[in-house]
Amino acid sequence: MSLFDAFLYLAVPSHFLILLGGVLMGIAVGVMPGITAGMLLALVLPFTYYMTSTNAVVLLIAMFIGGVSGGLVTATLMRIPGEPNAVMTCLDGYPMAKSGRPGRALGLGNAGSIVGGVISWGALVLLAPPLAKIAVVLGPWENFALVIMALVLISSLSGGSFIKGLMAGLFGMLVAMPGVDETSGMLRLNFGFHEMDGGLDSLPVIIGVFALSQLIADTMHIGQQNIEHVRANMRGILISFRDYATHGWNMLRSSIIGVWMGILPGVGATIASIVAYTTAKNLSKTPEQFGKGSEEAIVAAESANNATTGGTLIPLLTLGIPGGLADSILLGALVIHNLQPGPLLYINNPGIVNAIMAAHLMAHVIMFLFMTVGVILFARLALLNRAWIFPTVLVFCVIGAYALNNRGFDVWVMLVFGAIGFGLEYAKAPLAPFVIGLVLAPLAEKELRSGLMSSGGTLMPLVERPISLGFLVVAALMFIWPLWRDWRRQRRAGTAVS
Amino acid sequence: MMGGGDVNQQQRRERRADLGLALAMIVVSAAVWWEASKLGPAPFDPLGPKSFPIWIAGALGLLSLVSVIMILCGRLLGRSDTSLILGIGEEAPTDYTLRPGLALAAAALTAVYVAALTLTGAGFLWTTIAYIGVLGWALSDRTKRHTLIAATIAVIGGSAITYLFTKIFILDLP
Repeated sequence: MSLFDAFLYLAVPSHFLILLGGVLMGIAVGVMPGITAGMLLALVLPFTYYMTSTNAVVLLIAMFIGGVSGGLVTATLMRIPGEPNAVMTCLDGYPMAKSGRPGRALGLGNAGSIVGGVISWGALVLLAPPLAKIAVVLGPWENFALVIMALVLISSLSGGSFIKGLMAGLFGMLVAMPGVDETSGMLRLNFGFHEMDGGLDSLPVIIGVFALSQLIADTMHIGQQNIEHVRANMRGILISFRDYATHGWNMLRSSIIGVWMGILPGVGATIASIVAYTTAKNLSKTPEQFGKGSEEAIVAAESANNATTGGTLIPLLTLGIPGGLADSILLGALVIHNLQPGPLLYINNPGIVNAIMAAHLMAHVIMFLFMTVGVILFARLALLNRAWIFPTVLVFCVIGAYALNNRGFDVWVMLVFGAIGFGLEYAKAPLAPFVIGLVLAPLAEKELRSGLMSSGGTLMPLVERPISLGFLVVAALMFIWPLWRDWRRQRRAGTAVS
Repeated sequence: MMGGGDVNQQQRRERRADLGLALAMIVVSAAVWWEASKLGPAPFDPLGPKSFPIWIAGALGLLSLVSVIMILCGRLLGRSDTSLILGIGEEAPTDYTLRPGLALAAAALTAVYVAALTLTGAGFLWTTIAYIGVLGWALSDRTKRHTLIAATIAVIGGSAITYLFTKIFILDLP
């Protein structure tokens, strides 16, 4: 199936309905504070078992894009980020809405979203195929070094604390270890529990860490739903071509930032919107307007967070390395459907790759139309009493964890990892490295052991082969850089105090 | 704006959380190391099933140990700039009241629900109706009207979910 065929495939009514339903559900959960797109993807994943692999990935992509975009509504009207990546939109969307221009704020955000989405689609289509051609020649040593680089990169770039990022990544790797060792067939790390003989499935772990802990956190904040909000209206929702021209450079720059941040593992939409917002402020002629309802700010934040959607798919499709949470779940979906993400996906299943690309663009167009026409309806969703939504979503968490293997044990795993996710987040440890560690550990071990078997037990090829050496050098630099940065910061702080 | 006392309190809280995290990671890495060291070598495989977990556990243990030393020397480990789970560990909001007790009760009730489903033969339909009803009521304003709404949603929601998964998705529910 070529890319053109993939568009035709999605135009078939039954497939189009899946796309439409996915975008709608994504926007709906994006709008509802407390239910995130990641959570929706994790919950829906077990049920995609009953779909063809192409339809499953189309549904998940549509939900992902709808979810990233839906956060705009709640951020603008209620000053609550419906999705974490909408946090920067709150700063200016809400003041503009409060000043009597909610339609204009939503329109600008929506315009930024579609431009960011389309630019990131262009990057995906142009960059992914040549990268996959290069990636296909990588051997086990290069793949192992690549995973190491991705883990160090995500720990150092996901912000704040490098040590905590590394700890979370290594912990995620350990969680992936129990069960039957694929290479030797030996049972390991079951701690005497036969329920662990099959290992800890990544899906209950992900549902626990992201869905359950988020719901429990939101229960704590249930009083938030009664605070003041702005009523949505349609005035100014469609912005003019002149507006596109005025904000064109900002949209392009923020989209490129978003695509680049999306490609880097673990950085994701939230950091991309922060970087794009800060860049727009630094380059603005009216930086004093930022935080008070600046049009440039809304456009920058929304262009960047939507642009990450295409960027994150590039390493997933070409190298089999997820760029963030949603991609980790997409990776899980591909694996569930017996598809191996990475360069071989291009060779063995080009139809799936093209379906992902086509769905990415079409989902953005559908999202734009829905968000333009139905914004008032979506705004009403944000006002639904969470007391009526949360219990049902929690039941879905339980069914989602149970359904994959029909095992009660998996539901307990979800509960335990709900508590662990809560604890990690409370300790301000970044969760993205945890998920990447969890997903990539089996791949890292498999590649290392395969390399060692072919080299007769020596690790030397890791530094003798130029590409793997290159990856290791980047990993080493990314390891040293945050430590040097922290040391320099402390030295400066010490100098300032003295 | 935070005063000096608030800043100290915040730092103390962060230090306690950092220490808790590092100690928990030491326990996890020690447990994995101990369990993995019991494994034997595998034929034809230079690495075997135990080496990789031991390396990872070793790295995690070492990193956690360094973290404990840093914390005891008065340094903080830093904090993640962005959150994937909103609302945990944030400063108390000013426009509404945080309800950690309610969150704890919701978590406990969910554990009871899971126990009832997996450890007893209570049946999915009735357990789910009871769970949705009780949790919905607890999270609501608990007025008469809300009690009625919670009960209605529980019956309709529980029945609909059971129908959806048993008749349409043909799942064997717990």
